[in-house]
Amino acid sequence: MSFERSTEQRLLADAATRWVADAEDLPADARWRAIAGFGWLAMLVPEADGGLGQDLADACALAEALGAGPARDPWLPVAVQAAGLLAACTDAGLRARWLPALADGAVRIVPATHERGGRGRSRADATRACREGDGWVLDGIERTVPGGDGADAWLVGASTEDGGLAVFVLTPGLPGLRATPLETVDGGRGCRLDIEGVRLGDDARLAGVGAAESARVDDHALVVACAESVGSMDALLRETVAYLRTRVQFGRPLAMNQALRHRVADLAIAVEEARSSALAAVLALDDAARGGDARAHARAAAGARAKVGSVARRVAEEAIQLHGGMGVTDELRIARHLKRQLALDAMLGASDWHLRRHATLRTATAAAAAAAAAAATLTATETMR
Amino acid sequence: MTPILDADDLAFRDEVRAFLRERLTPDLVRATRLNTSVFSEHEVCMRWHRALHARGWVAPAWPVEHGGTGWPLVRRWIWETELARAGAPPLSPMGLRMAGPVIMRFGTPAQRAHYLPRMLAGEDTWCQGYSEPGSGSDLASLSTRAVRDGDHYVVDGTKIWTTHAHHANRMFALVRTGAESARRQDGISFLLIDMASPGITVRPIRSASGDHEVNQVFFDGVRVPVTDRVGDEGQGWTVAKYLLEFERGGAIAAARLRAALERMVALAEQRGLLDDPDLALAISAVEVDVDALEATELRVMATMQVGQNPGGLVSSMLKLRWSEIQQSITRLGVRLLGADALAWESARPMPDAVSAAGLDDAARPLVAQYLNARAYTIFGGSSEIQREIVAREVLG
Repeated sequence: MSFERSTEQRLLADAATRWVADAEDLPADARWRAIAGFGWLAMLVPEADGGLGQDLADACALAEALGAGPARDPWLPVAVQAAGLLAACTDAGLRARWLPALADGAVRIVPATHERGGRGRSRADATRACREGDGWVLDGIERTVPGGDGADAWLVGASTEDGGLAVFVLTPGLPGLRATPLETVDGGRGCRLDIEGVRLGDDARLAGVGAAESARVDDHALVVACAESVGSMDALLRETVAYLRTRVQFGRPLAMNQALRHRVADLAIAVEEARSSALAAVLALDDAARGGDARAHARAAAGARAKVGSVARRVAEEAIQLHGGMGVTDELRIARHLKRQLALDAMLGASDWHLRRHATLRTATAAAAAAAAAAATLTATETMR
Repeated sequence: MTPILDADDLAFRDEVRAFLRERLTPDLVRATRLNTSVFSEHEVCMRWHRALHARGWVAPAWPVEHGGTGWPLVRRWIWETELARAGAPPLSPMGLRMAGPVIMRFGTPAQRAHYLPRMLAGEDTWCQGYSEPGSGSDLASLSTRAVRDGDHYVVDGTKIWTTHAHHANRMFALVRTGAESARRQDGISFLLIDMASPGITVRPIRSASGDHEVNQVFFDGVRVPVTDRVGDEGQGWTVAKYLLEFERGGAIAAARLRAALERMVALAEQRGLLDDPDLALAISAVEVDVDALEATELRVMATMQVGQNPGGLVSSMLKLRWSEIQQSITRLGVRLLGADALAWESARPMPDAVSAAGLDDAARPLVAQYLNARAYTIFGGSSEIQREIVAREVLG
C-alpha cells in the first residue's frame, strides 16, 4: 500500500526539478542532449536492450518534475511511447537496431500513432497498410507528429485490411514519404508525414505489436501524462498563489478577497485530487497487468486521464484568469502550461473522450455499448421526425 | 484500486467477512439501505454497536490502551471497506469518533476511566452541542453561558441542529465561561453534560427529507460538575478544533461512497438504464471522483499513526470532497427514479412501512436521501468554511 516515492524516485525528481529550472533558456538540441545524457530516454527500455529497465512509477516521478516547466521536449512520445512499442516488438533484429540507440539518444525515434488507436478520431486519410507480396504498401497522412521534425525514424501506426493495427518503422528518404516540419501548440517541433505508396518489407513492421500492445502503451502514456499534468498544476498553483499575495488592488493584496480565496482553495483541492488519481493509476495499471486484465488496464488509464485532464485544463484556465492581463501574455509561463495541456489532449485524447471510454468499458463488451449507442441514435432520429 | 495485501491481511479480511456473515443480519442491512438520515436509526445503530463491542471491534481507530483494536491502518482500511461492501449500519460518530479522541487527548484520568469504557459498551449515547441559533458558521460567537457556582457550572442558553439529542444521554458542548475578550475564542470551554439534568428541554426539528434527526436543546439553569469540563477553562476552542478535524476527515468515506455508487449502477441496470450513454457518462464522472478520494484517503492514512487525526487542511479537503461526491450520488439516484421521484415516502423508519407507490427497497429511499444529503455540505463546517480553511493554509 505505497503511495510514497522511493528514495531513488525522489532523487530523480529532485535532479529533474533543478534541471528544469536551470535549462529554461537552453536551445532544444542542447536540452535533448541533456535529457539523453541523464538516461531519461532509457528508463523504460529493458536492460537487455541497453536500457535502464525502470518502471512506470519511475517515469511518472520524472514526468511530474518535467511538467513544472512545463514540459516541451518530446520525452513522453520517445521515452514512453516509442520505447514501449519497440519493447513490445518480438523481432530481435528491430529491437537491436533501434532500442539501444533510442536509449542513449543516438537516434530519435518518434511515434506517429496519434491519428488512431482508440482516440475516437481516426480520419479517412489516416494511414492504411495493404499487403503486397511479402511486404506492405502504406498510404495516408499523419498530420501532427510531436517531436517528429528531424527524427531518425517514425513509428507509424496503420490500419490493416483485416481491421487490425500494425506499426511500421519508416525512415527519412523512403520513396513516397515526405516530412514537412511544423510547430506544435506547446512550443515544440513536429512534422506532418505524407505517406504515398510507401513500400516496406515485413521486416519494417513491429512483429508482435497489434492493437492490444499499442493500447497498452497508450495506457502507459496516459498515466505518465497524468503525472506530467500534476507537475504542471502544482507549478501553476504556486505561481498563482505568489501573484495573488503580491498584487495589490483596491489598496490590499488580491489574496484577501474571499471570491478569489475560495477559487484558490478549489484549485488546491483539485491539484491534490489529481495527484491522487495519478498515483492510484500507476498502482491500478500494475494490478491489471498482473491480472492480465486489458479492460481494467484501459479503464484505469482512461478514468485517471479523464479526471486529471479535466482538472488540468481547469487549473490552467483559472490560473490565467487569476493572473488577469498578465496571464494571457507570453512573458509569463502561465499560458504555456495551458498550451501544453492542449498538446497532451491533442496527442492522447481529451478528458471527455476518456470519460466516455471509461463509461463504455464498464459494460461487459464494447459491442453491447455500440449497439446501445446505435439504438440511441435511432431513437433520436425518430424523435426528430 | 486496492492496496497490496499480504497473507496476514487476507486472513484478517476473511475473518472480518466471516464475522459479518454471522452477525450482520439481513434486517440490519435492510434498515441501513432504507435509512434516509445521516445517522443510522438509533435502535439499529445500538444493536450493531453491541455486536461489534462483543467482538472487541467497536473502536478500530482507538489505541489498545483505551480499548481500541490498535489495528494498523491497512486493517482499518480493510475493515471499513468490508463494512461498506456488506452494507453495515454506520455507528454514531459522536462518541467513538468525536468525544472519544478528545477525552483521550485532553481528558483527565478520571474522565478517561469513566467515559471511555461506557462509550465502548454503548452505555452512553452522545450528541454535539456546538451550533446555536445565532452562531452557525461563526461558531466562536456562541453565547450559551456557563457561570461558575462552587464546584459546578450553571449553564443557560440554547444549542441547535443537535443530531439525535432525543436519543442521547450525554452531550459535549461549547459554552462561554469567560468575559468577552478581544479574541472571542478565548472565553470558551468544553463541557460534558448529562442530558437528564434538570433544566434541559429538547425540541424536535423535522428535516425537509422527512426525518427527525436534529433538535434544538434549551438549557435553563443546568448544573454541570466542574469535573466534567475537558481541558482548561477557556481552552475549549483548542479542544473543539481538534474534534472538528476528526468530524471532517477522520473517517474512511470512500468505501461507503463506492458502495453507494455501485448500488446506483445496479439500480440503473435493473431499470434498463445502463445503456443510456448520458447516464453512463454521469456515473463515470462520479466514479473517477470516488477513485481520487479513495486514493487521497489512502495517502493520508499512510502518513497517520493510530489515534491521530489528519490535521486541518487535509480534513477540510476530505470533508469538502466526500460531501460533494455524496451529493452527486444522491443526485444520480433521483435521476434513476424518473417519474417515480414524485412518490413521497414519508414513513420513518422506512422498513416498518409499505410503499404506497409499490417502489422496491432500492428505489424507496432515494428522494429522501437526496434531500437529506443537502445537509452534508452544511454540517461539520459548511463548504464555504472549509474553503476558507484551505485558503488560509494555501494563501495565508
